[in-house]
Amino acid sequence: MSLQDSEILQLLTSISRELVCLHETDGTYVYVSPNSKSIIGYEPEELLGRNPYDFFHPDDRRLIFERSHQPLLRGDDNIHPTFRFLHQNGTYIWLQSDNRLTTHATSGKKYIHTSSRDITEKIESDANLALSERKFKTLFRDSPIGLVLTSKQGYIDDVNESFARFLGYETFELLGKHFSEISSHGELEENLRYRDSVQKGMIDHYAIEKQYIHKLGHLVWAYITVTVLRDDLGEPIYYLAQIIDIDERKKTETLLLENNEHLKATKNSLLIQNKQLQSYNQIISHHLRAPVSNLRSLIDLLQITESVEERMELQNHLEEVTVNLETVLSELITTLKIQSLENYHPEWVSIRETFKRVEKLMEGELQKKKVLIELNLAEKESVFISKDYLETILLQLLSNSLQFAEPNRDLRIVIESFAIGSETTISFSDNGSGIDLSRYSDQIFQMKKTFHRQMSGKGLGLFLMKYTMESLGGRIEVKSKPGEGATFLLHFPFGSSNL
Amino acid sequence: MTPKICIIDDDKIYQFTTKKIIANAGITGEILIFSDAENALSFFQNESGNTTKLPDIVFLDINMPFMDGWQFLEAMEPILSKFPKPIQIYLVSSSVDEADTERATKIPYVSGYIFKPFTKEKLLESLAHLQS
Repeated sequence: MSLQDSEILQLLTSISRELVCLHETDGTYVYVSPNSKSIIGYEPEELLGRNPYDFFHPDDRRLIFERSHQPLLRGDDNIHPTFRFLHQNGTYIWLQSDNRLTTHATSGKKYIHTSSRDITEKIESDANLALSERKFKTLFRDSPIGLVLTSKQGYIDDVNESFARFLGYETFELLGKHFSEISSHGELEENLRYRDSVQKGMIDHYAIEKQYIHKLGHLVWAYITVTVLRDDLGEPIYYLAQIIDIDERKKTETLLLENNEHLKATKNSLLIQNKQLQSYNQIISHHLRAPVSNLRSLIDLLQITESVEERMELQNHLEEVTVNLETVLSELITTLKIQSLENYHPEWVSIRETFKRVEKLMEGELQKKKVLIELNLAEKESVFISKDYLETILLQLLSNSLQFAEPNRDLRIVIESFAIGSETTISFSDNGSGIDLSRYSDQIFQMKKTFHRQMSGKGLGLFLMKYTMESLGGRIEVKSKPGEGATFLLHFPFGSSNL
Repeated sequence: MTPKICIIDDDKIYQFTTKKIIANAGITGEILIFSDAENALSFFQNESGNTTKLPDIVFLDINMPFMDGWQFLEAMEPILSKFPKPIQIYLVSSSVDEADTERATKIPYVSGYIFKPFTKEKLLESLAHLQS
């Protein structure tokens, strides 16, 4: 069963998405395919005899005439204009045509054959894409916030002017660098850990404070927010970092923290000085006024005493008190000297060498008492102090140990040194008679406190030692049990450059 | 006058001059001397009921090793009421620190505070209180 030509045409064109038309050479519609309603909204008969120029968008008419219509008539083949056409509903739709010139087989008359399709949707989505791309590009380029686009592997694909300027580069100099090349090592680990979490899909963005390396070499602080851009499958393709310059703020913050530390240190040293002043008060009240009042009493008695023998006795006491007074005065001068620290020149001083000198000074007594001394200085060999100070301190500790040795056992002294945190500690232990700390812990470093009967300790040594240590920014501690010896711990601040 | 006087002070020179001052003032009573407050305390604990052995007046130094004047006073408090006769206690110190004098006035069983040097006048004045 055969179909007529017109029927075949009807069938073909009704399901086609192409609008097929035949025009006179001036454009007048001669034939419009039956599917015209579905494409441009008009029935074929509404168009026959009319000219498509009436339907073209006014802005496109001239272009169609010059770039499509005329070349076609001149014999150019395959013209594919894209233009806007007025739909029956009053809106313009985008059409793309294939235009050809065709000749009637018998009459030889020329017609224009057009086959057009609606590409509005594609044009619009392309336009939208182009627009959002243009928007992003503008935003990226002109943003006052630094923006960096890095690949999944961390290489820089794009940076904006603002970021380049922040680091002292031209934008092109940064392209292709790995982000770690311009990041300070300080926060790199944290940064990589976050990137890793993003990569694994655990988080989508993160914000950290980090330091970048400026082109000139110094570090600059930034607050960065990193967002991940994923493809349709959810795989990260880009990381977009937004960088805010917080260098000034951070520097101010650091300065404030430093100032705060400084204030704390000042406060501490003031507290120590205050304590030391209280000790001075004690020295003056008790240790200077006491001999002076003795002097006064002795002189008063001398004035009323007739007996030659008694006068002699009083004179002997006067002499004794005067010597005592001189001692207290010289000790007082020593403490004042320590406190002023004007001539204090600390250096790294070997504990072993200093102790050897001290041993030499006390050689006689050490031999007499058969003292066993163990030096264990492997962990920390030196302290930052002036030689004289360390010598005085060790001399004091050694003579203390000698003085308070238990008579019924050989004296054993162990000296160790080690570093804990920012301190160097010397530990000085003996197996002597010890101190009852439950009774005397608050008095042990005070002036003129002695804790052993029948011992002639002046009680100033430990006071001076504590005083010296505190003046140097260090501390002294004591651990002891009666009958079981004592351990003195001297904590020296590590390389105290501020003295 | 024969009041029994007790001196608690570790300073040997002070002990010596005070004894002389007491003798020169014509006081003929017995003088008890302790260089160590702990020894003095055990004496008072042992003799707390013995009128003849207990002194009438105590001159107590504040600043001493082992046990100082304050600690001695604290330890004495519980046995004060056991004494068969009143005992006056004077704090004696070279300290002119106001904190010390103020602390002394807050203790009801301390009769007074004497600044060193100890003199005949100060001695007689404190003994006069004893008489009345």
